[in-house]
Amino acid sequence: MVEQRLSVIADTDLDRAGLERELEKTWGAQPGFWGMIATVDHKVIARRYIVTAFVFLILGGLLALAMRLQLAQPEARFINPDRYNQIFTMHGSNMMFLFAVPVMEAMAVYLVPLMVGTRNIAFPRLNAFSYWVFLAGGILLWLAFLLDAAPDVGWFAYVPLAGPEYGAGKRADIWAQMITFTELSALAIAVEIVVTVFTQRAPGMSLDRIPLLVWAMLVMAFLVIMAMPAIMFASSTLIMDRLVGTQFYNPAEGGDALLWQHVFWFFGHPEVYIIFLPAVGMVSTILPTFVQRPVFGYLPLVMALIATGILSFGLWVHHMFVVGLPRLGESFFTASSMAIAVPAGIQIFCWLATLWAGRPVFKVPMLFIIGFIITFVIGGLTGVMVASVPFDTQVHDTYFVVAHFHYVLIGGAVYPLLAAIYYWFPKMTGRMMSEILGRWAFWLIFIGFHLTFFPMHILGLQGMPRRIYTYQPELPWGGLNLFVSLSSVMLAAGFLVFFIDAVRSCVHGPKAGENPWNAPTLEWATSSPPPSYNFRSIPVVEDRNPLWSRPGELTVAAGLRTDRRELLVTSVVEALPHARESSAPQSVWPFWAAIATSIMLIWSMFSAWAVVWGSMPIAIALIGWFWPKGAPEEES
Amino acid sequence: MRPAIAQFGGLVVAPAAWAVNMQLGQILPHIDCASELILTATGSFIAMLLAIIGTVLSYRTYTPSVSRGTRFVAGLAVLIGAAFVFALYLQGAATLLLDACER
Repeated sequence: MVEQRLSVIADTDLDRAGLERELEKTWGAQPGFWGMIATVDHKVIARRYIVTAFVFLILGGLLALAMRLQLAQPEARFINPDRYNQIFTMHGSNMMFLFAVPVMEAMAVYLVPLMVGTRNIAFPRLNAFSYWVFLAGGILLWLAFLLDAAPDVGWFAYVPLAGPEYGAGKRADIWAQMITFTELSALAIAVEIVVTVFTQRAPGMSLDRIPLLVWAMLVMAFLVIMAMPAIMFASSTLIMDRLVGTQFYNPAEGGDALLWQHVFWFFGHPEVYIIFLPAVGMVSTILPTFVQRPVFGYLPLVMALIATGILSFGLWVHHMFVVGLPRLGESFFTASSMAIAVPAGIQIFCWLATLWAGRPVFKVPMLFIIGFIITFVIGGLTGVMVASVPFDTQVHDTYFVVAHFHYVLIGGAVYPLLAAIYYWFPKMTGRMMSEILGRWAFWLIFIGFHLTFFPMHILGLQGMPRRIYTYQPELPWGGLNLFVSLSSVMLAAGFLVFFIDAVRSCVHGPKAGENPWNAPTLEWATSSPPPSYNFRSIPVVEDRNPLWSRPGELTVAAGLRTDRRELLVTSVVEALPHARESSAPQSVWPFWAAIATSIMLIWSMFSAWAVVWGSMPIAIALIGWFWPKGAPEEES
Repeated sequence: MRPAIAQFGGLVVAPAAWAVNMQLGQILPHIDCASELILTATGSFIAMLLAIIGTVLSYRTYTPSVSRGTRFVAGLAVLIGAAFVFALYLQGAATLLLDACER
């Protein structure tokens, strides 16, 4: 026992170089293939997530271009109706479940531990597991597409179209099980984020000093935890209806087709905010850096994040205004849909006030933020329009709605995401992206986007329905559709320039220092890219902008062990140090658990017995995962 | 009421009142239509009143004498409570304008 105590090494026992060497030995990943598979470093896993999600963005974008080619002229025969159904379903499902949500969560996985000043995310093995499960879900969907067996029921898979009565084959099952994969991974990350933010913040980072991006990710994580179970219930019951003849959604046997819409949209509307709120956090974090002053209205911005998150659960029926519910009941959802414009407006005014009071420097991230504000305001205005029952009844299922949600999702989330990539790229890779290519990318994307999607409002008002694979020459839509299709090439060119810039800058970009933008938050207090242990010593926070108020060395907390992965646990409100806690070391078992889970989920599309037999390999993998291995981290 | 509890008034009571009223808004119109009662309107304005009470409780905690953490939470609760009072006001207004039997 005495011998064991003597072998403990604390960070106070070592000089700077020795400390870094010791921390790298403890926190660094093992080399080789299995080291790569087994890593639990939140930065490595987040980078994988981000790259994978952007690959899915490219694939989804190519599908969009295929649809635009088909719609460029009336009666085109480029894509047949069945394939077109698969393509628009794949496009929506891919963009929502394989790109937008995962990429936002991945940004949280990368940034939250750094911004709160800790050494790894909570439950790091669960984090590794979530990535492998997400990857398996994406591969399942895209393999199905390659085999001409992709879902063809729309990204919301309404019953009875997706039910056993009309959805022959396994297409709808693949959609439903892909949902299970991606929601499982999303829920895992959400739990990690909540625990990291509540228990691992740097000493002194009280609730009123948490960076706004971290607040946004925390609210997003709660939304995931409350919304995703609804869709997992929906997808599981749909598969059960199709496989073993439960009748959840079959009115002929006492089920209810509208139940599907309620359950789906109870998830589906918060889903929009799961994507949008991280973007709000990104804008609120990036903007102050480029005007070199603290954000205006920290408290109202936190309020707006939380109020938006809660209100988002009271909007789902505005997707169902034409199903015949009582008008009075619908009006409650109209009221909430209008009320959510209040926190959104507060955010916009806080950002404008920040801009007004500072000295804006129009670097590429800032350009994307300006583009976001303009585009999102337009999308928000059409959002208030479709929140009105009479108006929505007219434009329901038309291209007006397509235009609206692309304004909100691309303008509201993808622009801030691109700003975030340009902003944090130096932190993630240690290299800067190109200002020149970045400006080209911005203008091509900004102009290409508006030329592509604004005319869709007009097409919708002219009555063009969504999801049609072609239209007759007599209808007055041909000219605008050709214009939209040509404009989409410009938008795609903008993304191409962005990807070229990102790949080129990874290798040839100029070296970035620790803090190339003179930003105030903690992730910039360590090297770029950060070492495996994030911070040599855990920083102590004394205000909201620690790197601006103390531009030299930060005050740090000392006394953590370096011979095992050790974190500081702090209290929820005041972030007072409470305990030292170990962080799980790397393990290959999350990978095997994900493989076993994937086999069970895919098999269960074909046989209900898969749940029984498929659970056994999962149990074995979990036993391996938690089996004591005598590592120092297992000491209490 | 103790500040430790009162600070959460706007943060908890107002959203809870709104959430309950959202559910009642799906149930009560059927009863109102069948019986010519005004339960939906009554429910909405009671919920708004509860939200106002919760928000006022938080506001009374928002004083310089409390800790920084309590003051932050109380300020947050006042703003969030106000947003939900507005949402409930809009819902209440809708009950005065629309007929419960309308589809």
